[in-house]
Order: sequence, then C-alpha cells, then structure tokens
Amino acid sequence: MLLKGEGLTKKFGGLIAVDNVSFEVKNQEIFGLIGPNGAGKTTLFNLITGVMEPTSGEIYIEGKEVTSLPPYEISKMGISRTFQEIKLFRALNVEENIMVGMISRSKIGLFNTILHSPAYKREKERMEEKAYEILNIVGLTHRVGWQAKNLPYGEQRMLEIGRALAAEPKILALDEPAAGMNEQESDKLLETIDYIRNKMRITIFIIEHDMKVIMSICDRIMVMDFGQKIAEGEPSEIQSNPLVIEAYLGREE
Amino acid sequence: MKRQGIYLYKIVALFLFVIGIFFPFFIKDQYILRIINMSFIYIILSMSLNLITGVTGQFHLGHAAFYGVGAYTAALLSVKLHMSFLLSFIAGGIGAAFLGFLIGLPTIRLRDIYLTVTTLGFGEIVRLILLNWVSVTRGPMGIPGIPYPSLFGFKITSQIDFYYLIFFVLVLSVVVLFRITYSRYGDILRAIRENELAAKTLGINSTFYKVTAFVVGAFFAGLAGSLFAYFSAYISPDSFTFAESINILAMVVIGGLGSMPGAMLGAVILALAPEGFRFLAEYRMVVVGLLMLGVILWRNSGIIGEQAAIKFMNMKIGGK
Repeated sequence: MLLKGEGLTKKFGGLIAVDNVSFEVKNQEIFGLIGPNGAGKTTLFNLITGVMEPTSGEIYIEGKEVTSLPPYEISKMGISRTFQEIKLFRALNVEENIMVGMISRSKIGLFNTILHSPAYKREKERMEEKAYEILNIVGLTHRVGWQAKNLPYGEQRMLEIGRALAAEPKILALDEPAAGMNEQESDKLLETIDYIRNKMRITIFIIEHDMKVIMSICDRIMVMDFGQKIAEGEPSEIQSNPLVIEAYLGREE
Repeated sequence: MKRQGIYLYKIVALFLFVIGIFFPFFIKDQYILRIINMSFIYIILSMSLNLITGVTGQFHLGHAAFYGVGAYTAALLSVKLHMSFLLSFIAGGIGAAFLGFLIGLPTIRLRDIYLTVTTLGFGEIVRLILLNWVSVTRGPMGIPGIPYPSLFGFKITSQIDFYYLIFFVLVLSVVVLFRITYSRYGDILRAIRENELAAKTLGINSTFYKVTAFVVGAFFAGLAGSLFAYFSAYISPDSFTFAESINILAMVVIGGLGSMPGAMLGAVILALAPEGFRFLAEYRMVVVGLLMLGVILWRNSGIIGEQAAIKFMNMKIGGK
C-alpha cells in the first residue's frame, strides 16, 4: 500500500473538519476524492501533506509512519501536491518555479554555489535540462522566461502540477486541478494526468468537482460529507450509491 | 534556447572594476576618498541586508546591530588582545554571523510585523549593551586608538591604502553575494519569500534557509563593521543606532528590494547625497527624504527593481 490513512481526525475548536477517516491508496492508481463544499477534502489533503497535524489518527507512506512530520520531510518521502488556491512563486519565472521543485533532490549547497564548483555547474545544467522536459510534459515550453504571475489561469495550474512533478513524487496530490479551466484546458489536463500515471508511473490522488473529469479518470473514488467518509468504490458504484446522491442533491423529506 | 554572446553585466562589472582600481590615481583629494570609502562600506551593508530583506523577504530592522557587533568585535580584539588585523577583521564577521544565528533561530519562526518588531528590539538591545557594558565596551566613551591595520608586513595608513583594502573586501562581497542571489540558491530564497508554504511542500526546509540568509547577511554586515572600526580608528554606540538600520534599509528600498545592483546604487546615492547637499546645511536631510519619497511614489520597485536587475543579468551582446 503506497499511502494509508487510519482514523484521521482534525478538529478546529468545536468543528470536526475530518472525522475518523481511513483510506488506502494503491500504487499507480488514480484515487479520487469528492464531496460537497466544506466536506473536509482539502483539510484531509493538508493532513497527508503535513501542512496540518491531525488531532488523532496515523498516516503511512509505504508502511512508514509519517504522522506529524513537517511538510518538507513528507515531500521527501514522496508526496507532492498542488493547491486549490494557486500558490506559485509569482515573481519567479516558469522554469525557476520548476527548478525550485527539484531543489530538495539536488545537490545545490551554499558553498558549491559560492565557489561555482564543477559539481555545481553540472547540477545546474542537469536541472535546466530536466526543467525543460517537465515543461514539455505540462505543455508550457512556450512560456519559458515568463514570470509565473503573468500566465493565464489554466497555465498557472499546469505549472503547479509541473512544479510538484519536479520534486519526483511517488504520489501526486491534486487539489481541484480543473477549477477555472476551460474545456480545452481541462482536456489537456486529462491528457497530462494520463501521461503522469501511465508513462511516469506516478500514483495520483485527486480532489475534483468536475464530475466528468473525476468519473472518466479515477480507478476508485472516496466520498466525504461533513468530515466523514460516506462511500468508497469504483466510479460506477459511486454514481449509483444512494448516500452519495443524497449528499449531493439533498434528502427528500 | 541559448543565445551566443557575452553577458552585458560582465562587461559592466569589469568596467566598474577597472574604474575602481584606477580611481585613486586621478582623485587624490582626501575628503572625497574618505566619502568614497564610507560609501563602499555602505554598499556592503546594503547588499547584505538585501539578501535578508529583499531576496528572502525577512523584514529586518536591526541590521546596525550586526554592523556594530562586527565593529566592536574587531576593535576589542585588536585593542585589548592585540590580535592581528586579518584575524580580528574576520572575527568581526564571524561574531556578527554567530549573533545572526542566535537571533535567527527564535525570530525566524515569526512572520511579517512580528519578525520586524522583534528585529527592531534586538537592534536596540545590542545598542544598549554596547552603551552600558562599560567594563568591556567603555560605554558612551567608545573605543579609541584602534591601530592601523597591517597586512603581510604592509601598514595601511592613508586614505588610499584604506581605499584599496575596502575596495578589495567590497569586490569579494559582491562576488559572493552575487553568486548567492543570482543562482538556484537565490531562487530558493525568493521562493520562500513568495510562498513559504508551497516551498515547504516541495521538500524545502524553509527555516534552515531563512537562518542561513540571516547568518550570511550578518557575516557581511560584520565585515563592514570591522572595516569601519579600522577605518575610523574610533567607534562608539552612536554609529550603530536604529536610525542607521533605517538608513541601510532605505538604501535597499530606494535601489530596489531584492535587486543587488539596486542595493549598490541605493547605497551610493544615500551615502553621497548628504555630502552633495552639504551646502544646504541642516536642510540637507529634507532633500534626502524627498528623494526617498519620490522614488517610492514614482518607482515603487526601486530605481533598479528586482525584475529589471534580472533582465539586465540575462542581457547579452554580440552573437545574435
């Protein structure tokens, strides 16, 4: 099992944002997470990426417990993420955003940088080449040299995905990647996700509101409502699950 | 992707370097040389603060403390312990860097205004220690009689000697800080400034990098302090006040936060302006204030803003 959450709970004062949620993400699958607004999906993402500490429960990556590790340690264990509200390094240009993603797995140190050692120069060239490859995957090679903040919205989302890929994750956690994208852009997104899973063999954990996206790409889907897990299964099962329909459409009195 | 040719900034840097080398051949006026020497010290200070505040985004209002600790370390080691120039000069940098580390660890977890107020308080604490720890620092009387530095048997006494000493340290600082600022390493620092949470989720231990920026910035401010101590032969707490921290910050802001060429230009302007406007007597600081106001109003990213500087770094001439 690549990623496992056990009894994850997160309380904010009296509010229980995530309530005793357990799940498992298998190697190389596309695992979807859906639910109405305020269901606790992003909070769950924050827990598994170390951005927030769970009130209780445990998280395991490849069997190793990572609960309460800081985000930069969890990133090194193999989870990279994107954000619902885009968090690019706005003043940096496109390729620099990607290269910052690579830093944690590179050998860029202060003294190498100051001395301009041969190792530093080799590393710099390797990073530049790899950044170009990643930009190619997310379809942004035509934006080299642009500041991130000047990209159109959809491309900013793609750049965030590229930046997360640069950290060489085993699991890519995407928080509503299609939000704000037009038809054409979300087609490109689906294509990219497909490539990442099938060619790069990276597992994908995705939160998405766009049902077309989620139903067409996910192997399995977990549904949350009011912080609780209410269903899990293949897309066809989820679509016909009465609890899910109720959560989305409301109960008939 | 890559264009042939020579980077324009390298030509400009070489040009400035050559001017720097030959400057005293043509200008022998002691007063002018003294002002130039002082402006070089300010360039080191503003570049070092730029690394902390401009590049890494840690709004730091106590830079004069690092400057002062560097000056006092070097002065005390050479006056009381008769240590050689080279050792006490470097010790000034290391002393300030160590303080930067101590201050960096607890304060770096603070954000925005909380960090700023803490660094302000830290600057005042250092000044008050220098002022009141009379048995060591002689308090308000300061430390007189700092000996002339001597390097490899050569004694540095005249303004021209000092010019070359300070110029050498300046060039060294420019090269080191330039390499940090405009490299992948600088990208990490800028990324932390732009979005620390995102940087963390990419495997970057942001605390480590922020403390490092503080330590490196403090080190160079300490070296500037060492130079100042030897250069003026007398130091007192009056030189390391809150106003001085603000002065250094103003240099960085006027030049362009995050821009190294900007920080250098800002230092030169603010170091020279009070001298240039000396004929205005007590009104000269008003002119300096207006100058600052004008820059902020009409060019709020600074005279050479961060992006302008980066564009300049990528400019090439020759080739196609």
